[in-house]
Amino acid sequence: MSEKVVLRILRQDSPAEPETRRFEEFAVKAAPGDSIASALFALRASPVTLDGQRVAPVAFESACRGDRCGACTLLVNGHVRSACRTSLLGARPKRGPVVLEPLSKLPLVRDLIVDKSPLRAARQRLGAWLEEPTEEAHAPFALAVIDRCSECGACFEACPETSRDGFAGAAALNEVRLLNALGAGAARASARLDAVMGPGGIADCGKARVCVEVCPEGIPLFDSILGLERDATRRWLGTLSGRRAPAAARPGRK
Amino acid sequence: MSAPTLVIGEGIAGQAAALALAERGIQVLVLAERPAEHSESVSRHDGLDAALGDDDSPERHLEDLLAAAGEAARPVLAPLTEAAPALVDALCRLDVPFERARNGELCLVKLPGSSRARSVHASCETARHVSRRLAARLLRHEVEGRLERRIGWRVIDLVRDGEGRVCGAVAQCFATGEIRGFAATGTCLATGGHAGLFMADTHAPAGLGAMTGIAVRHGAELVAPGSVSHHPFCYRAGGFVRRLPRRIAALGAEPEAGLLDLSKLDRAPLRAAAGSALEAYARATGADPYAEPIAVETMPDRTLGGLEITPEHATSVAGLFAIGGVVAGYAGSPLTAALSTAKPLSEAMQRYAEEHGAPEERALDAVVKRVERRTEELLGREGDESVLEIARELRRQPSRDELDALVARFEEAGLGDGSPRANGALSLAWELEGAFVLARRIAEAP
Repeated sequence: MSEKVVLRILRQDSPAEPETRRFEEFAVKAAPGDSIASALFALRASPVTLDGQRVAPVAFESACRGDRCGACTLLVNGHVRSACRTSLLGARPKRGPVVLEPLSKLPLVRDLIVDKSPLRAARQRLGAWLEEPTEEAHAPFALAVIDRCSECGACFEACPETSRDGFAGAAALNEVRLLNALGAGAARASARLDAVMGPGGIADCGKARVCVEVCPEGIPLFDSILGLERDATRRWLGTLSGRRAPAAARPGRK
Repeated sequence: MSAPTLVIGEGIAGQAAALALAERGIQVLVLAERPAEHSESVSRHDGLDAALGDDDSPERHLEDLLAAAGEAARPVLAPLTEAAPALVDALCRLDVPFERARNGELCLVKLPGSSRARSVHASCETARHVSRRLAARLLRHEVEGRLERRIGWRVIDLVRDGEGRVCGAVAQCFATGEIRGFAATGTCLATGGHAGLFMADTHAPAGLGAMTGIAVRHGAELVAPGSVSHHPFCYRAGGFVRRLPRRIAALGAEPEAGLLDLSKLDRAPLRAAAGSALEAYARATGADPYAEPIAVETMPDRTLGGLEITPEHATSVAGLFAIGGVVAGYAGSPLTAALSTAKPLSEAMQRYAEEHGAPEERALDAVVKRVERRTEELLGREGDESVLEIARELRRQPSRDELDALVARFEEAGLGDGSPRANGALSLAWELEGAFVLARRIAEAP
């Protein structure tokens, strides 16, 4: 038994051609178990719109096809979702089509594909790399829960504060929190905290907490941000106390 | 001017190779279709194998692997089993969160086919944790200018100089369609196996082995390209094939008549070993994997055959090296295979770079022109034959004659998309061109 579902897809041929931005509608067969990703794969074979026009296949991103890697993140009815994790029948609104759009905060490549390199750039700005480790250190297994980001871009998209040149976002901050907690990352912990206190860092978090809601890996991103905020404040107080009386140290004052 | 060392592919093997090279102070260029975090190796559940137990030794580890891979694999497997214990140490120093007992000792799991308990895991996310640590190390080299990554670039062809040595590659940027030549002093393939050629009727994530085919076209020798290992815990969800971690076998999971019943097993160790994979199963099917039987199939998983290499990781083409799943003979954990061989690979590539000066860049231009012409031709075709359908049939292991017919149909196929930008059909056409070469070798193998 299969039903028909209409996909309404936002398309654009290239970033340089905003005039090609348009919605196109396609009918796809939907069986229980089908995901948005499997529907997009099926659509590749016959990209014919509802009004019978044969068009170029819809460009979309998909890698593992197994709910593992986060490559296929997009907007489903305005909400950030992984295409291979989202049920096609479950995504149908009460009325009207299922609307698919590319992530809106990353540079568009074509149709549903965006350029995710700014996510890596955000990590780089915060110094989220590891030096050569010197001695054996056992990471507490409890850290594994914050150690599984797949750079899917969901938290960057959903956060009201993030932007390409502004707030680095929850994933990058979580990465700093993780690396600072690791034995192998301790040597640069202070430098990372300094970066986190700089422009685009932790002060830009508006505490909307949507990052936690959208993370497909269930990473407690907001806890990471709070933890980092504590460490940053401590570091700030420490720097101050080196120079003047601790009484002058008032976190939050510019 | 000297050219960088080129690594093609950014799964764990590519990351390990790039890191080992950068740590020797060698300038590295990585060309990869996908970033490591979306690579096939990161989506796997395997842990690492190493002779770490008191009752174990690298020799015993080697004997177990040879039983699976055959005696001929001894030269590639012996250094691997020898290096594996130190590799686990190095990963511990990088704080990979391996499971440990209360006393801090690593937990060793005995997998089917192993005579000893020698697998270490971080739940079923070992590959992801390892890859993330390697990425954090690589980012430092990138910041310091020793490493350049070009992600979203598909290598269309290798380039050889007048003396037959590989002196670079021509690649196409998926996002923009730009075609460019990259000169290289030494090139390493880290492009994975070709198990996709054995997966019929599914949107398998596994590759079709295009890069292996391209290497073969340049004269690389293959070993047993039709040899595949199977995975006992595959299930279908929404048209896709997914896997449950092999390690649940160590907890007593055993399919009976196609059904895997986990309900009689202890829930806590099961959740610790395979929690995220079982959650994904529950999301995809709506069923409770801890309570209801799971319909599983045994399916092709990894290719055991692939490129033949010397103990120095050189293929039979001068200047072309290989690491990881693209290489023939690796049995056991693919993570161990990729990671424990990066150091000897980097030593060999460093020697190669010292012995051979800057490559001839002229050779690149001719190949760039040829690839540009071919791109134009592929994009201009308007045939009714579909590359998707041809890919589907290629996965059904065609005979030689069927393959000839398939190649002829491919030459008539239209892409249905004339744009060079983010063109999935064009990308698949390139994949097919390489895969045909490999599929022919498989069809011709005795």
